[in-house]
Amino acid sequence: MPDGTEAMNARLPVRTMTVLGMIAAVVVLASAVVLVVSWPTTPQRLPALPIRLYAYDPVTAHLADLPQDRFRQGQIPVATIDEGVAGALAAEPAWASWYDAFGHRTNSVDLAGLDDLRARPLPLSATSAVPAGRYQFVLASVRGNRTEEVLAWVHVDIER
Amino acid sequence: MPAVYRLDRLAVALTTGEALLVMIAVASLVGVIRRDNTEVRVLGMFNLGAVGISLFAACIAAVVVAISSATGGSPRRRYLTWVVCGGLVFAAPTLLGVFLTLLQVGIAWRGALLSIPTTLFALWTFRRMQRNRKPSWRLVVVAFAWGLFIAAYFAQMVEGILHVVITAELLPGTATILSHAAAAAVPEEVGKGAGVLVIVLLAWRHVDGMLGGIVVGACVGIGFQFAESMSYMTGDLGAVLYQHWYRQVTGLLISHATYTGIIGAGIGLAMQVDGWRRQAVCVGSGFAVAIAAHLIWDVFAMGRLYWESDDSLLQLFVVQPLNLIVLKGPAFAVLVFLVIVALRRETRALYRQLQEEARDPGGAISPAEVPVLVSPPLRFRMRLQALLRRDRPAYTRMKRLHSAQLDLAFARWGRDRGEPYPPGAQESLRQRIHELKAECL
Repeated sequence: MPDGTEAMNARLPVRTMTVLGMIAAVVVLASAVVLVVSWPTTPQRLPALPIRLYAYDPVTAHLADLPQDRFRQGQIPVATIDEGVAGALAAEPAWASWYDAFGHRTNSVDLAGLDDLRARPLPLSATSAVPAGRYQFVLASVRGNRTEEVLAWVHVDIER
Repeated sequence: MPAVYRLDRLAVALTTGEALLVMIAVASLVGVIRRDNTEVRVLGMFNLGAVGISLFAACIAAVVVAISSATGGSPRRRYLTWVVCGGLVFAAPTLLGVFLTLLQVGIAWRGALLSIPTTLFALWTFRRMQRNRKPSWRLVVVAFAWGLFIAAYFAQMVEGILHVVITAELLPGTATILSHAAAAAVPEEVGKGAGVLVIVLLAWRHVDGMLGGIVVGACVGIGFQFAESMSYMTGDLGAVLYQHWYRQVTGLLISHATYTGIIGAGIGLAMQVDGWRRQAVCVGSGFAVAIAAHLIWDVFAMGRLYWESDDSLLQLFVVQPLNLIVLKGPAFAVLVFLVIVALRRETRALYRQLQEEARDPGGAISPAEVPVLVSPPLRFRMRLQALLRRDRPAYTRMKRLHSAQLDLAFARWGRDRGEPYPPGAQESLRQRIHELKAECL
C-alpha cells in the first residue's frame, strides 16, 4: 500500500525540475524580449535601388565583366550600383553590409555617398572564399548614427 | 479491463502524432503558397500528399474503430484495433521520412560509415546509465529510429520552411539571428520530445521512470544527431572529416542527446508522480530547459559569437572543443545532475522494496542479498568472481537471478505507485527467483 514514502522520494526530483524549468523560462522570456526590442522597424524604399552583383575571383583578383544573379562556390559576389541610379542620394551618407542566411554580418562599409559604392564595390567577404549558401546584401541611408531607410535588400545564392 | 491495455495513453500518443502531422501540413502549405524556394516547394507538395493519404486513412480508421467499439470484443482486441489503425494513419508520412533520411544517408555514405561506430558507442554509453535495469536494445533502437527518421523529417520540414520565411521577410540583424535560432531550437526539440512522449506512453512498462526517460530521450537525440550530421557530410572528404569530428566526436554526447535526455527526465518523472499539475510541471520544465539550452547555443553559433582561431589545428583541437564546453557544457552538467538525482531516487526506492521483500517470510530475497542487489559494483564483482573461477554457467545463473530479483523490486515499486501490472506478475517473478536459486545450489 502507498505509505507516503514514495511521494517524499519524488519531492527532490520534482523540485529540481521545477527550478530548472523556471530558469529556462526566464531565458526564453529574455530572448522574447530581445526579439521584440530588436525587431527591425526601418522603412524600406519602394522601389528599392537596383543593385548590380559581379563575380570576383580572389585568386586572380579579377572582376567579371557582366553582372550576374547566381554564383558558384569559389566566386565572391561584389555589390555595386550603376551610375546615375542614386539620384539625390548620391552624396548622402550610407551603409552597406553583407550577411549570411542567418543574419551574421560578413562584411560592411560606411559610405560617404552612394557613389562610393560604385567606385569601390563591396565584396561579400574581405578575407577568403565563402561556403555555398544564401547571402544577403543590405544598403541603407544613414542620418547621424541611425539607419534612416533601407534602400536595397538583395538575396544571393552561391551554389555548390 | 486489464490495465495493461491503456487506451488513454495510446490516444495521447496518437494525438501527439496527429499534432506533428498538422504542423508539417501547415508548414508545407506555407512553403507551397509562398514559392520562396523550389526545393522547399517540391518537398511541401510531397508532404501535403502524404498528409492527404493520412487524412484518408484516418477517416477509414475512425469507421473501423467505431465499428469495433460498437461490436464489443475483448480489451486486447480493441487495443490492437487502435494500434493497427494508428499505424495505417501514420504509414505514409513515416515512409516519406524514412525515404528522405535514407536518401540523405546514401548521399553522405562516407559520413554515415564514419558515424556508425561513434553512434553505437553513444547508444551503449547512455544505455549503461540505467545501472539497475538496462532497457532492452529493442527500446533503444525504437528511440534511435524516432530521432533518425521521424524527428529529423519533422524538423527538416518545419524548421526548413521557417528559415526560408525568416530569411525572406526579416532584415538581417539581432532579431533575425534570434528568430533563426528559435526556428531551429523549438521544432527540433518538439519533434524529438514528441518521440520521447510517445515511446514512454506506449512502452511504459519498459521505461523505468526518470532514469528510463533520460535514456530514451538520449537515444532519440543520438538518432537525430546522426541524421543532422548526414546533412552536413555531403561535401569533400575534408569537410566530411571535419563535420565528423565536430558532430560525432566532440559534440556527440553534449548536443541533441543532452537536450532530449533532459526532456526525457521530465516525461519519465511525470509518469511516476501523482496529480496533473505536477506532471505538467515536470514535462513542461523538461521541454523548457531543452529549448532554452538549444536556443542559447544556436544564438551563439548563428551569430558566430564564439572564439575562432586562424590556426586550423588550434581551431580544431582546442578552440572548437572549448566553445562546445563553454556553450553546451552547462546543459550537459544539468543532464548529469538529473542522472544522479534519478539514480539516487531509484536506488532508494529499490532498497526500500528489497528490504520489505526480505522481511516477508514468503519473499524471494534474503536480507543478506539486499546490499548486493542495491549496489551495481557489488553485483558486478560477484559475477566477475564466477567468471574468474571459469564457471560461465554460474555467471549466467547469477546474472539471471539478480535480474529477476531487481525486476521484482521494480514491480513492487510500480505497484506502490499504483501502476497497473498484470495480475500475478510478482508471484511469477518470485517463482522464477526460487527456481534460479535452486539451480544455483
